[in-house]
Amino acid sequence: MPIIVQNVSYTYGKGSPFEKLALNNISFTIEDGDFIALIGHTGSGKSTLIQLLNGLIKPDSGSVIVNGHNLCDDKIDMKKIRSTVGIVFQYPEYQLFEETVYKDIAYGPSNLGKTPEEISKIIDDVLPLVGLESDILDKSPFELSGGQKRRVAIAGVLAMEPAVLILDEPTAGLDPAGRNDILSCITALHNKKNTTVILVSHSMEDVANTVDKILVISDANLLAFDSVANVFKDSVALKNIGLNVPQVTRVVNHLKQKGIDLGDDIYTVDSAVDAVVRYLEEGKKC
Amino acid sequence: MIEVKDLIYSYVSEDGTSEEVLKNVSLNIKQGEFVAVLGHNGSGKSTFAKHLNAIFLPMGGKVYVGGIDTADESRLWDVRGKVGMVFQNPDNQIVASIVEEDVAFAPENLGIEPAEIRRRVDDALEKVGMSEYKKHSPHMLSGGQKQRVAIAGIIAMKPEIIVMDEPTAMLDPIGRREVIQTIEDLNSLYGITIVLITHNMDEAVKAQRVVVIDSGKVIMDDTARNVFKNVELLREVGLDVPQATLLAWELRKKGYNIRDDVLTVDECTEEIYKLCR
Amino acid sequence: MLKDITLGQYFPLDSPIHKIDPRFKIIFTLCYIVLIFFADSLAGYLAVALFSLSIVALSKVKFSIVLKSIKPLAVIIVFTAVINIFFTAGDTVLFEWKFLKITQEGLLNAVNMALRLVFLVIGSSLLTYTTSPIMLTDGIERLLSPFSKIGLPSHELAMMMTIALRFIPTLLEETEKIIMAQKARGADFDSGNILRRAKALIPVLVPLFISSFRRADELATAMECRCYRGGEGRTSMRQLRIGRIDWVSLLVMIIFAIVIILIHITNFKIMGY
Repeated sequence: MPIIVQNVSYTYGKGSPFEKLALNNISFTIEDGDFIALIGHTGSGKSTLIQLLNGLIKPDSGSVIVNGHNLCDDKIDMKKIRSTVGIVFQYPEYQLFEETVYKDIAYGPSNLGKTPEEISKIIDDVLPLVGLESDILDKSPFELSGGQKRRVAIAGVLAMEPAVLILDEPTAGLDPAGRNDILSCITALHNKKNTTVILVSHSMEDVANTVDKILVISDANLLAFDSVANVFKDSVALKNIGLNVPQVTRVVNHLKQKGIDLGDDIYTVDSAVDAVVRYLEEGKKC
Repeated sequence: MIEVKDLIYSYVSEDGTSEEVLKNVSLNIKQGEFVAVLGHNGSGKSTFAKHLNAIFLPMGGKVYVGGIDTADESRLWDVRGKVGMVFQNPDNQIVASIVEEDVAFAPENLGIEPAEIRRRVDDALEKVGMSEYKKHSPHMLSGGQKQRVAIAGIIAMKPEIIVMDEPTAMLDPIGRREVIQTIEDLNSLYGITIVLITHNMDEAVKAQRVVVIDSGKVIMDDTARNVFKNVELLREVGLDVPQATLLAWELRKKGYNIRDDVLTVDECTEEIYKLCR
Repeated sequence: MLKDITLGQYFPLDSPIHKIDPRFKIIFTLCYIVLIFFADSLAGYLAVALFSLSIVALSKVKFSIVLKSIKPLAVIIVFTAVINIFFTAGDTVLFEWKFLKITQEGLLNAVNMALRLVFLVIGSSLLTYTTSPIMLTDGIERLLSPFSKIGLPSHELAMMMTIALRFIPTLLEETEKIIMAQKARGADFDSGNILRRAKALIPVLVPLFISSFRRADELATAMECRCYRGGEGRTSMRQLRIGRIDWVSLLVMIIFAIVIILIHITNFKIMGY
């Protein structure tokens, strides 16, 4: 179920003194099973874009078509869209409210009208996806650790069984171990269920290690939507809008300037190690 | 300046079980130092920080600030005035709805005369580069700007040392850069002693001295260079190293002749360049 | 958007009214409100209207904005007028239908009350339009400080106001975020009866309360770290100094008061011969 965004514009706070163009005539298509990173600065229009993708807000002009349904259509069944496109907002643990973890995860699916039996099955299904054990279900979400709370919150969105999952900086505030855990959960979910994933992130290192494609937003405009390799190739363009390429890519670029060409498409430590080794081996042969 | 001796602290939960968070931590912080305290979430690093200005009191051992025992209740406000604290969430430490009013908060509490408060406020805002925002409302500022206002609020108190408890954890990359730059300036230009609690390696690299805490114990205490050599150990305790360090380390592991204390992109480039030349 | 609501509606303009010491302004506003009730004749109303309009003109706040401030209270004004029209006893009956009776006295009373309310709203909104919330808080704290000797927590009240002003926009923003997040989880706030809608708000209110408590806790720690220990021994960066403009405004206010009272007395004399 592709998502087609066509000529979408959105102005925030229309008519107020805070009026600001958040998105300017943006078009792109997300295919089934895409694993995309959405990068851009705070205030670039990223948050507006993800809210548009599941109909939380409507575009001023243009259209968002999810699975053949135009979200601008007033008669559309919003619940169906919400269950198709799930959003995990920043610091999702701040939205937990129920007495037990079970009830909290059940909130989404019960809003969708699922029966208790269905919900129980769904919960059994999503817990392992976020790396939680079933003994946590009867606990209060408020007595858990920060990392566990976040997993519960993510499970709450996964329980709506979305075909498309949007995560707004799911690793914010976590330490390196916690960050790696969450990222590998997301990757596993993508691989296992072929869920389309849109990951909003500020860490180019994380982006390089996880996704296939990158969508760059700057100042309300779509700057690029391409493979990781192609987006990171143009490090100057990224730098101009205040973003960066991963550290290893910077090392490779500096080396290139000094006359040592390790090749393109290097944006993870592993690929950089291989490239250096390859370069040195070839050098020996000559 | 700060002397921590055999510090022990436990959290006691509602059901009566207690968990030891700090086990015999000893540490001295000298005037003018920039110390990063590293550890994963739950390592005890935040608990440690909260002992430095008597938010928490030791259950065992002692903490001395400029010779004053933090457990001495009669000197509590002396300790608080000497050790400034900056926290993670800038929103929850700004009190007033105008930037300069907020910066004035601490000196007002200390009963300093108005003209001197004015001077301190202007000076503090200047030091964090927020002078032009002094009449602004904090909620209209970006995260990095808010955090700089919070830092100015501490500088205006004229503490001898500033302890920052993960000041960049909630900020975006631009905000992070702003705040880290501010912290570096405070230390190098104005000689303010800094203790930076963090789990971000790229920030810790900026410190002269790095202390690694794991399960309530100091496991490393050395220069940034020497600490980051221990890639395996750091990973074991749930930390990471910068990609440049990791790349150099991986190559060294493969038997290439590379320095074992690479920290920055430039150093890494230089080392690989030497290899490939 | 919720957070676009400007609270207190302060307009930072450069006008003599803005420059008056907040303590004076608060007292003036209270005097003005009292004086409105002395104005009970055509001449009185004219005097009040003239005075109010001159102040509005001096303040540089757009007249349309001042008019807008009356709008939310229009219902109350109309309501009191209607009550007065129908329920004031009087002899000069103008209109009678079944149990409804409109008398001349009732009509006069209605006009009286409506005019007073309008002036009251104009006066008090002008105070917030021309005084920044922080100055207002300062003014209130200093006016109340003499009463702290008899146990009135003037500093604490002012601190509460300061913190409330600081956190209202933050909490509004947070509310908006939580609403978005729960909507994304299929929450429906717009349908069903009142009971259902109230129940639908629980997933918003619980996280909001929890986060407010967390904020309060963190703020308290941060304040203690900045050596806050109550109002005792505290100084203030901003010194309120009484200047020329304050004395001038005081003079104007006294003249206005004398005029209103004179009109009231003469009017009373005419009525009572």
